[in-house]
Amino acid sequence: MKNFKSKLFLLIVFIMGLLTIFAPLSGCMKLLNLQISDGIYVVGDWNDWVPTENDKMIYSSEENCYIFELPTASMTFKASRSGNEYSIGWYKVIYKSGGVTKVSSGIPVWKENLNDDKLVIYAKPDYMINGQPIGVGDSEKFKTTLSKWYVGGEFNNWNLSNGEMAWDNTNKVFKYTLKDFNATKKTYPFKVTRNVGDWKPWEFNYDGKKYDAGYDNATLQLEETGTVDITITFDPKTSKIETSVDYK
Amino acid sequence: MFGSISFALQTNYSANFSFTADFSQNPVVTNFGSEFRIMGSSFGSGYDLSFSLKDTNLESAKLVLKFDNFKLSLYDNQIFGTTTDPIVLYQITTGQNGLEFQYDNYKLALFNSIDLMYVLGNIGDIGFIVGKRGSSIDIAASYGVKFAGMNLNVEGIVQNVTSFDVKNLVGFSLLTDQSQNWGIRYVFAGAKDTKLPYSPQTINEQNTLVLWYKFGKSPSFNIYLDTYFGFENPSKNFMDNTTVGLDVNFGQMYLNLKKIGLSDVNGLMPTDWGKFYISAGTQFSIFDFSTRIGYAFGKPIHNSVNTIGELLYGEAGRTFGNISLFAKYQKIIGYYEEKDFFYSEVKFTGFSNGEVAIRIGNGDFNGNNPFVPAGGVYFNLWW
Repeated sequence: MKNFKSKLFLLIVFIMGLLTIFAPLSGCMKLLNLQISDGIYVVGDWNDWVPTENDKMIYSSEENCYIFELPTASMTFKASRSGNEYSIGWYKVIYKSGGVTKVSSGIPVWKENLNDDKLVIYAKPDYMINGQPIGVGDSEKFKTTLSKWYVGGEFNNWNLSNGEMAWDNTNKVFKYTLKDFNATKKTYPFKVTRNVGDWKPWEFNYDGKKYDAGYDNATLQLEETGTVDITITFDPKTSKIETSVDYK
Repeated sequence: MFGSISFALQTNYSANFSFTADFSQNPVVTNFGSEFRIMGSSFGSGYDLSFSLKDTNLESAKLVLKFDNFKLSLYDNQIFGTTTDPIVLYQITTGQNGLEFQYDNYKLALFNSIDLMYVLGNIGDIGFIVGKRGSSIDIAASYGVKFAGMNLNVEGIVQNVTSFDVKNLVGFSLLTDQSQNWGIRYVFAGAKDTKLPYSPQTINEQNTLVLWYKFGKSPSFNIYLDTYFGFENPSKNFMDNTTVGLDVNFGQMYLNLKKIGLSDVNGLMPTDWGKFYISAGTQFSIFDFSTRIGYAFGKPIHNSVNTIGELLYGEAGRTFGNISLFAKYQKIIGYYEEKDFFYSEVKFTGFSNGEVAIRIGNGDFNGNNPFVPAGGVYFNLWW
């Protein structure tokens, strides 16, 4: 038994030595030399996060962007970080063309809020920023079945009950307005989020650069202090957050 | 009954100032933040009071009144009320408002901020919980015993008792040796989609089984198996959903091997291994810097990179008198994406009532936090 343990230990040390010395120098990923073809794709658990021809997005002139319809049954939903009662699935969009690759950050989908047998994913490659969800959206983000969208920030004491966003059917965005706010400084942190209580599901706390943002925030910037009207919009088709300020 | 009347009052103050700059934005976004807190505590015969004021608002408070075997605790924005049963039927992880009333081994917990209340206690050696969760009534009974050098804990839960459904049944058992060197944990659920809304226990299928065995001292080994399966297709579920792993520790070095799923190995190339994770690393001291390095190869390689990939990690830290330095770096190379993480901190601790820190980057390397040129100066004062 002692002899076996010694041999097993020596084998493990040998493997560790190989891994710690050889692998970083040669690069396992370089050795594998994995490539994907040009195109714009959706990836998730259903394709093991590796795109195939079946995962290519198609341009829709009606929607003025690339679209992809994904059967909800093919997505994998797991319990949210904020509670077992919320089921969350994830996807990313990959754009590769002419040597340029942009990969969106992970975008969450709330199964109970979607309540549909398909998810429509939208992408505008020109808007996309590598590592961020900007330029990508989906049909679930349009739905307010279980929760509306809210803005919580320093300007409303992070109180989401004062931050409800309304649907602007003209501009096809969710909009929050705060009138006659007395701005005493030039930057105010905030987030866009859904809320069934306690900012849940937490995966939808969005700071404009990533979902599930945790303690990171978007920033409302003002040119000057004083009485202002604040408008914040969220586009569910492109995940873009825009802010505007009217100075009085 | 109340004893002599006496009390002590103690207050502490803290002030935090921060100046942050995000150089990734154009123009640069700067922010100045400040927080002022008063933490007070008062205790005397029969009561304990603690509170925290942030700026001019009550941030949290706790008042405990005690007399004989009775204890009444009132909470404002405090984390309280997690049950102590084996499966943890109700776990509270964020600040809540409410109260607890305790008499001997019995406790009544009421929450103002969530629709939950429960009673828990012991009848002989059997622990029980009766909870009202929204319009549902939950009942749990648990029992623990030690015998022959082993510990056995079992629990049965019936959710929504008034509308009985097999789907709402959960059973739990845990058998370990006294030192937890080996163990068998089994959870039964009435249905695949059974949920315990407030519990940290995740239910993916009707049966969840975890086995582990630790042996050796130097090197030490831990071998484990984690699986879940239904009754309709148990062998296929077992092959698809089983994770097996081996952890080895020898001095400052570690090696972890993990295979997630046993049915998806299709070839000799790593791309044909399905989900797996191999990591190795070590700690050492160089020029008085405490240093750690690590390497991992696997799929998924990180929470934010779901494909096959490799991860390199390094950190170093050292204290020079009242100045401490720390920096860490992580690189992830995935199938079609690469991410770099960096965090650094310089802290000055030579002040009697304060410290100053300069930080750059985001220290949470487990999340999707690639390096962004943003940082700040932070002043913490207390008295």
